[in-house]
Amino acid sequence: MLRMASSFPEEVLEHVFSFIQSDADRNSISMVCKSWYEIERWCRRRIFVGNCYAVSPRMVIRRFPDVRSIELKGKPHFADFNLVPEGWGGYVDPWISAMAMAYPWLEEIRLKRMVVTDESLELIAKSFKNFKALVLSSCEGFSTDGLAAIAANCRNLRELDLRESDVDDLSGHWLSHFPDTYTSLVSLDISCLGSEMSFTALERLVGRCPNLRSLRLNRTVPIEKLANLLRQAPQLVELGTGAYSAELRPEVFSNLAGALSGCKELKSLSGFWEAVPAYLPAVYSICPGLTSLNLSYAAIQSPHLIKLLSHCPKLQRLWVLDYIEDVGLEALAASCKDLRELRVFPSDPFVAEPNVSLTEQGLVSVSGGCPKLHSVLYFCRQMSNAALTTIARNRPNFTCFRLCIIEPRTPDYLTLGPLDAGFGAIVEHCKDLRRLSVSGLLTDRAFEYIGTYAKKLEMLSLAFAGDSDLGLHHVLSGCENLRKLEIRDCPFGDKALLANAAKLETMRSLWMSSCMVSYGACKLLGQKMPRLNVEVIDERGPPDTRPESCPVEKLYIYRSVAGPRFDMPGFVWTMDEDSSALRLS
Amino acid sequence: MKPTLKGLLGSSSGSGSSSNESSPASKVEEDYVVSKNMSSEATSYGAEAELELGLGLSLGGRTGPDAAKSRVTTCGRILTAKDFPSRAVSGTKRAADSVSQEGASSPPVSQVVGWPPIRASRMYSLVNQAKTPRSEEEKVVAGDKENSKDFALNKKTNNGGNTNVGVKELGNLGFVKVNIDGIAIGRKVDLNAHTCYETLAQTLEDMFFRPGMTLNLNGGEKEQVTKPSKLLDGSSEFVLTYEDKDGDWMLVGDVPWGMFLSSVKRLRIMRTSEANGLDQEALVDAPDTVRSQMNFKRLSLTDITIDIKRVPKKKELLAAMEAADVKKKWENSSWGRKLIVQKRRASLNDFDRFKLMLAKIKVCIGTISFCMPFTMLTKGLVYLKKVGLTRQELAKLKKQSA
Repeated sequence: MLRMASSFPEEVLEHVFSFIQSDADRNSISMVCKSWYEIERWCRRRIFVGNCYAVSPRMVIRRFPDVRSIELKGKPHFADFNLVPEGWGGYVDPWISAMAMAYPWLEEIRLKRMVVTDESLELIAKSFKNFKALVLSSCEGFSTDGLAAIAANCRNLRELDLRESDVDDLSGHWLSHFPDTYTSLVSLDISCLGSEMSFTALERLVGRCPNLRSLRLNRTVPIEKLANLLRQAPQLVELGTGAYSAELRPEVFSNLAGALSGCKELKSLSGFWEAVPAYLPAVYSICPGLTSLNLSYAAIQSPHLIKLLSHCPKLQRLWVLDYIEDVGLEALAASCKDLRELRVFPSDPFVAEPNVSLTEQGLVSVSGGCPKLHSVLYFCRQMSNAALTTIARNRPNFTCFRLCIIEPRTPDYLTLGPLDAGFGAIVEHCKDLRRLSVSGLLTDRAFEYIGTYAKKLEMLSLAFAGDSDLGLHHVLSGCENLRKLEIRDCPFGDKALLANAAKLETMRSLWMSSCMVSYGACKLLGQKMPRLNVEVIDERGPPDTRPESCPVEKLYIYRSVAGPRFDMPGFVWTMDEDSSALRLS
Repeated sequence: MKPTLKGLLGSSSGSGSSSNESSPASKVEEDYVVSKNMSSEATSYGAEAELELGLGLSLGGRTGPDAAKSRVTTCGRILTAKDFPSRAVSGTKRAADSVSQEGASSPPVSQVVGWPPIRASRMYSLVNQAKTPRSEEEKVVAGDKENSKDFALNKKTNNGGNTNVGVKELGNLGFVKVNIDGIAIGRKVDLNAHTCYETLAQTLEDMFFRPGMTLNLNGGEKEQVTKPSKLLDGSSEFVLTYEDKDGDWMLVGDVPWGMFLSSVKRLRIMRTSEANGLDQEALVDAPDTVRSQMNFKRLSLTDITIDIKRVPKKKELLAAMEAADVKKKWENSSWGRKLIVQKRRASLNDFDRFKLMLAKIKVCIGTISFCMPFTMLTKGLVYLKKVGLTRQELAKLKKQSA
């Protein structure tokens, strides 16, 4: 047996491993035996780090010496909703500095919710000769100067994607830094930028890049100019328009419609800021091939939406505002049988009275009519257990179910009771559910259902729910595959957390804010679990100036092999094994 | 010739003199005075004085207690955190409290931080769709993503006494740059997360000076109330200054918080030695206050004058004020009337305030453009564009102003 293993050449194994891309499989391979571990680590090219503080750059570089693509995630998900104070962390600089020296052949960097600086971007531009893809999703801390450096120096750049990032937009000139010899652009997403850029520079760039497949413009590109761009790039597969409104002028309309009809490969449309219904028909010619449509920035009323959707039989993904209303969703259910993902965003979430006629009925219709629907994000103002049960029975193939009833703790509007039974039905019937967000009035019963049935659940978001620690205990003890749990404003305290401390090491992270976890419990947890970083985030000042039983404002627990971090701001404390000394930055 | 005291100083004396009457215009000021006094009685005197002293940067410990109390009774400093005893830091409690305290009918959903869970970029777009698109035109104003940062955070602080003015003028929704002398890289601080100078100074100290400083307290009392901010009371080698709308550098702490918010553009932590040129004081007196000194920055001249000799006795001063009917003139003045408007504004929902802001800027550009300097005009247009007005509306405004 031993001889067989040693006579099997490494190169062959490497070649076999190169067909295996999934991280989970790669991890399994590396656990088979020492030699496979060695072979695998030398040939792993893509790394995914779900929490940038779970491991240090040095450790990654030590284990994987030849990486070409890295993906890092920084802040917790609730940072999207301003629950994580500014300055918490997620700095990418140490990673870039370390990788600049260790991975000269790095090609791709994908970051999510991290703080990037212009210096890092310049370092990326200078250090990686074969750099191909930069994806900054919900990042912040950099300006268009950094982008200029990337544009100027990365000769082989294929993908520049700034989706939803917060960029310090100094000017639009950075686009002109792409040299005239640069032709390799495949994907460009600048939809988050605000300032106007030279349209001629953009046009020239688009014109000289024959492989451009995805172009997402920002608001400042007017609808009149869109046609020109499209004529330069008829091979586009994904298009994000700029501002989609103008006074209706027939020549502009026909120009646009003509240009769009020339883009035979177009599968995805987004943008549509300030969209006016008059210009919507311009896209009708490409609708038959459309699989993804993002109208979530377009305040278009449901009659126009219905008309548009009736032209899109192959639609798989739809993001839309609640102007679509129940009638629109019914029409959607009738016309788009291939629908896989639906997101309905609220148009006016800050008033108690509904401004549109969108209720739970819309979701019921879609779940009934679209057999392939598996991912839903739905904002509404009322819900009932009956509706949820119907939805669950209609669509047991949900993998992602996120329901947000706008007013916290809203009961079932028919029975005025909690929505436990409804969500219970969801988790019971949808056996493959991986992501769940709950809302409305919920008692510990709901969590009992979740713990009992949601065995494949990986990410759970809770807000204003539950009665007692029992709820949390159900979730932590029942959901075997739970990786990320985020909780806000729930009456969960110390008991469940401490009782399920071991579970926390099997998860990526736990976020609890405005709950009732005491400082003493946090200290205890930090003491007993050395491989967890227990971070107390409290802007009221050091927690030991208050009694131990005082609840902490926010708590973020994540497993880490890198130990406590050292870049914390003054309002974050890591509970250390040495309980007497609080770790400060 | 008897020298007249030209220009009755329109700060605390104005409101102070009206505290005895019950006419509608003065009632407003009276409320402020009363609430301020009540709250100061409720809390420990020491805390109140600290807070007041903190607000008057240049005063140090020179002034008497009464002057300190009545100083900040005018516009802006309406209701503070002290008036909401159960105000908690987390968003939810604040929601309940603010609704009950203010008795407003504004829905609670808007008061909670980060709820509903909508990303900042999307929220900003929503806000800008102020017009309900039920009209045929259906044109909406989309928002600018850059300015979207802490919209939810804005809502959280709307009950802390921030006036409409304070919230709306901060283009970046509260974040202003802070630089300290000696360090090239600045930071950003969210002014909307604070409702008084104390907490702001605290935050800045934590940011720039070693956080260990805050641990040097004896006793476990709340720092925010008992510990005077070093930046504000002049005891450290640095002082906190800010650049206002007109580009002048002023000492932080002189004006009421709301006024500060509406005019601050950025902050700078300056060395004390450099900041000395920013101090100048005048002698100030009113019927209900002790005669004292006040920084020029907190004073502004009005047209109301009285006839007095140099350094009059209190009785003579009062008589002169009666003779000149100062009170009536004050109430009829635009400043006096403004206070009433401000009170009305304070009850606005955060969302309404934002809409109001946009509408105001548009009106401003559209109608007063003929007497606006060109630079200001373009600045206004650029801001509107940033905030996401449609090209049509911008073009219209440009045409109107040209």
